[in-house]
Amino acid sequence: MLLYQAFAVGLVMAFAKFINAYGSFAQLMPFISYILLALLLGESPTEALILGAAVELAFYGVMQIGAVLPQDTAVGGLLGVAFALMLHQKPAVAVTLAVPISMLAVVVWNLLKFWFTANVELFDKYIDQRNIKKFNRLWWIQVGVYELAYFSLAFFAILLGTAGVKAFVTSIPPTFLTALTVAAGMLPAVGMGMLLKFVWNISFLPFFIAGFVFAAYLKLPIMGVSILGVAFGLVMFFIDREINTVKKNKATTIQSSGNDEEDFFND
Amino acid sequence: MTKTTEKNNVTLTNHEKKLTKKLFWRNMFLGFNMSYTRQQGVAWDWVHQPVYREIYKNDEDKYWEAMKRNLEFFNTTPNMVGTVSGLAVSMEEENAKASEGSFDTAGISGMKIGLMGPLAGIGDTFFSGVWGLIIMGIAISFAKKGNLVVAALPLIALLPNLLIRWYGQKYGYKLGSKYIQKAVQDGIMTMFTKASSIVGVTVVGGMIATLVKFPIVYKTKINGTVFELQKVLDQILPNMMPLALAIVCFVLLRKNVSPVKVLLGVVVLGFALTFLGITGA
Repeated sequence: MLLYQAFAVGLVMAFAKFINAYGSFAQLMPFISYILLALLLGESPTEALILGAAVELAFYGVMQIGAVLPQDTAVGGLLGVAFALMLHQKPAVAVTLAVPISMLAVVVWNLLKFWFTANVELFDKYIDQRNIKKFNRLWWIQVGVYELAYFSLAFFAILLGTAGVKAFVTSIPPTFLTALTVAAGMLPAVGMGMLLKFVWNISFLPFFIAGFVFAAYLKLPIMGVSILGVAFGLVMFFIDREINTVKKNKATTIQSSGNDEEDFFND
Repeated sequence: MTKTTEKNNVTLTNHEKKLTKKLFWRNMFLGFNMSYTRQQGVAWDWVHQPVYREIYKNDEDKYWEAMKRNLEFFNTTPNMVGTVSGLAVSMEEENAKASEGSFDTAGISGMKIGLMGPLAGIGDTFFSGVWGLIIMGIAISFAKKGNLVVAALPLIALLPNLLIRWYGQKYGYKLGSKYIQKAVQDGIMTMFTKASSIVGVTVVGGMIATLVKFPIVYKTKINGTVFELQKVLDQILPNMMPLALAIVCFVLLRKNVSPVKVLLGVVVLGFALTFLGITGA
């Protein structure tokens, strides 16, 4: 039974890591993996979603920006939810497991990337040798190893870790669990901070305040706040465009009259 | 849209359609096998290999020269690759048609390097900072209640990703570098990035109030009346503590404290306050 469960989680993990890279699809669909996980494990998909929601909330805002991966949310989330689902635990337990696992799992990616980097030399060599077959073969070997690495990671984590996790989970005192729930509720603040850091400019402060007030005082749902955000973005876009045309008109009057190409782009 | 279509003649011939379709699907693999030194460089070459083969089918030397040349460093938001990819292919086609030495291939590299930065700027802001944020916010609110509607959400969520990939590639291929570079120079790209950032900042402001939880349970009696800290704070400013916490995290991250340390700090804070009886569930 455990062997099957380990195999199933491994498969879902391989799938999740595949769409993580393929077309960057996973960014928007971690819940698909959770539903798949529940179906393969024979547990309730509803429960998997509730566990997954708690985990994704803790990861909220943690996204792969550029090439930097602060936490491997796919690995952490799936293993956390899988353990909690199999042992029928509360969402707080899923979060407790998911967060540290996500931080540790980054090592796997770093090792893989290190190996890929060492192989760049080989790719170079194959091009010099004009050998497209070897080039393609190494490419697919890398994809295969990547998939296999994450499959084995999940497989052995479930196979060898479940007993330990069970012992750990059943020995958690109730106050500890309360504290965990509180900490999990606070965690989205980190993701919010990361996102703010990424897009921040002091001139955006009014929009930040407005967004907060819409939700805190006017109790607007996320969707409503988003739509108002789009309205703000559009207003600023049109203002900027206006400023841009004025600037350009000034520039063209100072220069000699514009050429045909200029007219073509200014319709 | 039809007006521009006529004006610039962006309808694809059958052969071109086949080529763009192939490129579209292969470009999905750009996120695989990233390396520290070239990032997506090797992936770029693998993605474009059959297309280069097709373009240089009569010239073995030029084909391998193109393969070698395109193995260079490349890094952008994978969702945004379509535009660069389409442009690069149209430039390679020009190179194939040009007589020996009359086309400077440095222009292709220059275009790739020049565009990957601005495109990543927009792509990361839009996909990670705005769209992903909104979609995940909605998805979590469904999933919390165990609502299986979440399974259908990717249909909407993936739409911008697919559209930008397809149309970026098509227009990049048909309109050529002038038009795209013009858009960069005109600042349309920067304006769009800025507008996306504004949406992101507004949404983050809202999310802090709705998603970050800082439940204070501390109560005490002063002169016989019950003093509930949470109620007093709510009167000053609702969701004050979540806001304060998020701002502290933001300030620390801006000072380049590592995200892992900030994360651990928040966990420790949650534990400490709960054990002191200030917060609770």
